[in-house]
Amino acid sequence: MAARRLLRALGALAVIGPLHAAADELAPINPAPGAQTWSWEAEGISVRLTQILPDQLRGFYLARGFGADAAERIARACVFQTVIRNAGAGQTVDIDLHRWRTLAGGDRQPLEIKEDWLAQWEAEGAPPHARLAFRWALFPTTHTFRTGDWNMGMTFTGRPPAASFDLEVEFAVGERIVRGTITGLQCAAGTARQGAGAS
Amino acid sequence: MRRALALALWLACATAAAQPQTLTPLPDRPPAPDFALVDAEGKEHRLSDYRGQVVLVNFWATWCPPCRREMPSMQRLWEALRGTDFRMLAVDVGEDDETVFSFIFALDTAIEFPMLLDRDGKVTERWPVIGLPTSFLVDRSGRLAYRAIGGRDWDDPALVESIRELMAE
Repeated sequence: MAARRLLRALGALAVIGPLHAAADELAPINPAPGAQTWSWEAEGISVRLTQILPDQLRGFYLARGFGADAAERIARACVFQTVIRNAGAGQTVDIDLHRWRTLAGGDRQPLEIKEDWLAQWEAEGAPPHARLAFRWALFPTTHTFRTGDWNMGMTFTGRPPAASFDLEVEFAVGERIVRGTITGLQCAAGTARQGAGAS
Repeated sequence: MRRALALALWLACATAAAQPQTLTPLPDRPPAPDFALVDAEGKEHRLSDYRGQVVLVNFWATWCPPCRREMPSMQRLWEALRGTDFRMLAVDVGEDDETVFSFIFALDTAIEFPMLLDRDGKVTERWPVIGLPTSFLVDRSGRLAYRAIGGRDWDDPALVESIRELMAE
């Protein structure tokens, strides 16, 4: 009986993740098995990026009213669950995702920001409730973090499935600019849903 | 083995408790935009009806991991301040009552504070909300006194003390 209780407790720990993750509120909740995470920290700012698997994205956006083709395009956009925190910079930390870049073999590209996607969904007539979910699920394009503030949201890199790249990040800490590069990121590999076009 | 598990659990809890819990004071305390929203049972709640009380307004969604994570601590805060002039309104953004109901019933914690539905997101748009969750403490005069972006452990003693101080103003 005691052994069964112990096994159940260990099972619960497995569900909430490794102990360090359980203790850290920045840890993504229930990352998909096999999803990889990258972390970066400097001057009291922390960034954590966790792959969102294409199937997770399809499921999430289909359930919120997007059509199959739209969900497929999202699933192939190399999306990361992104957590940014002002953990102790001592000043406000501002981000503007327009200034972040992905870098692969000399090819430097901006992130795909939510406003561009939202304009596209509106032009295509995506249902309002689907656009609303999309709007709130993505990481804010610009944001001011005061000490202790943190936020979690999806960032779209636009890189192809399974691609490797570096991510150049930039923050304004008070009057100063802090830059860094998160190296060796990799888009989740994924297959297109059956019957979906590759476009 | 059991001792090792207990130690591991204690370490997990101890480190979690070490995260600083902060609220950002809002300069000049702008007026809180009024709203009238129905809760999951169909009862209407108007923010201005709570004038004279301190109100925690929390914007959230069932699919948002940190929103889900902070919900039990909000219930504990609600219980800790029961019988005072403190009120709490959780505003779900863009979902229907069925989705919110399903979420509430699936929780281990019984939620007693009102869950309001901003189905079209229009109320949320009028508030300075950038991401979910975002919470505001509204003072007795109906002004935005504090903001918290991201999830919090709402029953953390430092946060409870801040709320009590706001009630004492």
